[in-house]
Amino acid sequence: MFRLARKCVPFTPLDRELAKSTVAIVTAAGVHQKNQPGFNIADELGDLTFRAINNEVNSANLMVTHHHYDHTDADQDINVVFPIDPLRQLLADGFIGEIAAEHIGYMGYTMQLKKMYEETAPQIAEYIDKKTRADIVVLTGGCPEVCHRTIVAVQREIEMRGIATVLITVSPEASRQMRPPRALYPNGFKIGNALGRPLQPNLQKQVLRDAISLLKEAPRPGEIITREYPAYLQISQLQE
Amino acid sequence: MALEIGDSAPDFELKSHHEGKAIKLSDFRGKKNVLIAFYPLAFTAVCSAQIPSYEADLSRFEDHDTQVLAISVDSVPSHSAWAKSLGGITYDLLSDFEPKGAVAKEYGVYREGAGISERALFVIDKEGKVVYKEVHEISKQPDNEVIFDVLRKL
Repeated sequence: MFRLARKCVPFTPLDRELAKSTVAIVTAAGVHQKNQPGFNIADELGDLTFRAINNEVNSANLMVTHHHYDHTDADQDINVVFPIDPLRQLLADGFIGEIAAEHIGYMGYTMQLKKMYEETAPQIAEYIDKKTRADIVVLTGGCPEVCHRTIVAVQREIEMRGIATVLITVSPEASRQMRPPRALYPNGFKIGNALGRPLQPNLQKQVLRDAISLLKEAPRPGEIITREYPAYLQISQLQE
Repeated sequence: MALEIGDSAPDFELKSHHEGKAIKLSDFRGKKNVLIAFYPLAFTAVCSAQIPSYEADLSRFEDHDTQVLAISVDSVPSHSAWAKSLGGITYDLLSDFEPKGAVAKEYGVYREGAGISERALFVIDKEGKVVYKEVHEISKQPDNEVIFDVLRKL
């Protein structure tokens, strides 16, 4: 059986305008609806299941079940790892055309990497392909090492199905080894703050907009683009 | 003295986490290339990502006619328990336990004082020669694609 080397980076160009494109979110940060069962954090091998998150859900009705990163900020504002409200703002601005009917949350930490790569990642890609009508998928990780690797495995599977993707990574060294088709690294953002800090809606929107814009800028596949966000770092300095 | 590229890889016999079975490097001479992955300790963060990454890529190593052997100073029971906690490791985790770190010392990758080995990778070709050596920053997981680049050229 032929197996694609990770050095070979799948890449789907985005043919349509952003303003006419439908966008979905996939996160490894353990996000799910409060009325859905949480991920099994009692099993140290991890949980290979995923949850479909309805687009109509109020962001206050989302939560995180994940025990391998500090999700205190996401508990306060889910948009720091799952940017559903900034996405709605970009829709209202006319920057994107539509939001997908469903998004995906899973807990990216697992010791069952082979199953994650060969079963869960293709299953998530198939769900995105067949159920969401997405043209673009924005992805985020959770924990620093494993999540930021498995999310790229999912990203590559989605890209191979002809859907353009962009990862927002806050663990670029881990993500880079897996060769993401496209990725943005907001320089200096800590684990659990893929989009910024809680209650920084303008910053979250800016990061998301920049990530989606990479789909039209055609960086070299596998390259991670670093951007500076002084608004994030200024708050960091104030807190220190 | 540190082992260098082009040197003959010192033979060793160590016990595997698979029921303590003895594994000799020379068993693979003339048959398979060998990736030897020295790692610091079982049940630690980076090792717990690195070791399953070889399991996930095992079929690609097999495509390149390569056996993976991972070595640390942990005991056989410790390796067995760890492998179970990782969901099962089918290749061999070898115990460089007694005398402690003897193989790591012979390969020049033992951290005196710390009592552990470096995070170091060696590729040994079928003739038993070292064709690749890299001592990694201990907090960083090595990139398997670098190894596949080496194996592709053997």
